[in-house]
Amino acid sequence: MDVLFQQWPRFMSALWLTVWMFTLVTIVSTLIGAALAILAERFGPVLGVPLRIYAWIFRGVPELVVLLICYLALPYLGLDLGSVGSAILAFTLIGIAFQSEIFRAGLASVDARMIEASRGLGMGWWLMTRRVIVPQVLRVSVPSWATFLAGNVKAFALASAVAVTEIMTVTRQTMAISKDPFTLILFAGFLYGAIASVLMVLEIVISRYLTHRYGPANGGGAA
Amino acid sequence: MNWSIVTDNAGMFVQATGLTIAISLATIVLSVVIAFPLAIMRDLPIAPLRAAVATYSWMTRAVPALTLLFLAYYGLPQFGIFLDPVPAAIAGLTVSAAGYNMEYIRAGILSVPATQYEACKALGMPLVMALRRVIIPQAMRTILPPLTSNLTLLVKGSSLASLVAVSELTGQGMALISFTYQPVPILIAIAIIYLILNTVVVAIQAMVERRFSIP
Repeated sequence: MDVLFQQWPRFMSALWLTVWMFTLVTIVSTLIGAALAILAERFGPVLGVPLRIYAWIFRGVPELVVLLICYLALPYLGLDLGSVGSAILAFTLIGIAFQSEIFRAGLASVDARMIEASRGLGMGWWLMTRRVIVPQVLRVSVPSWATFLAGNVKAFALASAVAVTEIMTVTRQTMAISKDPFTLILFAGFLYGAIASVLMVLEIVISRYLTHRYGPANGGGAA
Repeated sequence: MNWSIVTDNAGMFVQATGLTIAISLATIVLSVVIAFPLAIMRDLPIAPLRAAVATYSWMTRAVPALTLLFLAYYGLPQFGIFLDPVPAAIAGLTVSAAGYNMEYIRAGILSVPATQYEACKALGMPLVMALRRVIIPQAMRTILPPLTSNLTLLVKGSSLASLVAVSELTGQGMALISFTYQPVPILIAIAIIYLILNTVVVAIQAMVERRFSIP
């Protein structure tokens, strides 16, 4: 336990590193993933087919292998991002794949009659997307979006494999000077559990806000 | 790009792929076998048992699989339990996967109407028999889609074993990179192998689902 106190500042900076990398990746991949899903819906197979292939690849290849490609292979192709940079790139690429699928499913759930009605009212594509489609997609997609994020934050432990000094790296380094690896690893697990729990609470808050603002997801309950 | 690195070491890739398949299969079988009784215990009217299983489910789903692998490989020796890399990897991955599988199985079992249980009771069936002959066959249809998509995650998760010194596909690839300095063809080959493995799992998933679907 002494070692844990001695290494406390390093654990905290590692926690901070994980949190900001995760936040950045989440924001970027959510925006790009959602935009791609909307554009694929608009432009049909021209964009839809490449997007499906992209999603198939990045959801089918292990996160660790994507990380290693960004960290080890890209420098050979002339792009050296360093360890933190390649971890951010890898998780963003993976995130876009999952997010675009999540929002594609959300878009598919919008009733076609809504779109017809908007057209009937003479709404343009942008106005319809912004005022009719996005509010509905948001409510449908928030649960699977949050579930993905809670799983994704744990995948950030893999960044330790490409020399990012995040929580697992510090744990491994501290284990080398400690007689109590079990407690240390449990502590690392606790830190991830804490982040994941914050995300789960956040999901409840966001869902409540959206329901409060736009009404329940099924449109007020036909039942 | 020098593809001869891949073709020259084809034997090694095949061997490593074999180990990846073995670890994945062991994890899949063990985690499903462990998850079934846990899922049933989760809803038995025995409070301490229920609480224990609920805690297990929450812990294994909140903690990264890598952390559980480290616990099995670096943490257990502290208690005199020395696992070799492969069993340690299988243990860590299984504990992590069983938590998820358990929730899917539980959701499936809960989706079977309560009247089915009552009918079994009225016919005098013991619980085990009712589960085996009536409840589980109906629950299977709800269980299979999320369960099998979790199994594709397990195939990807087996790559974590490379971080506790198992030379499966990713580990072997990293070793090869470290003395050939040819990461590009090696990593692309590995990625393609994983894609093939997962495509096979998805095909099996479709086949099994068709078998259990209502004709």
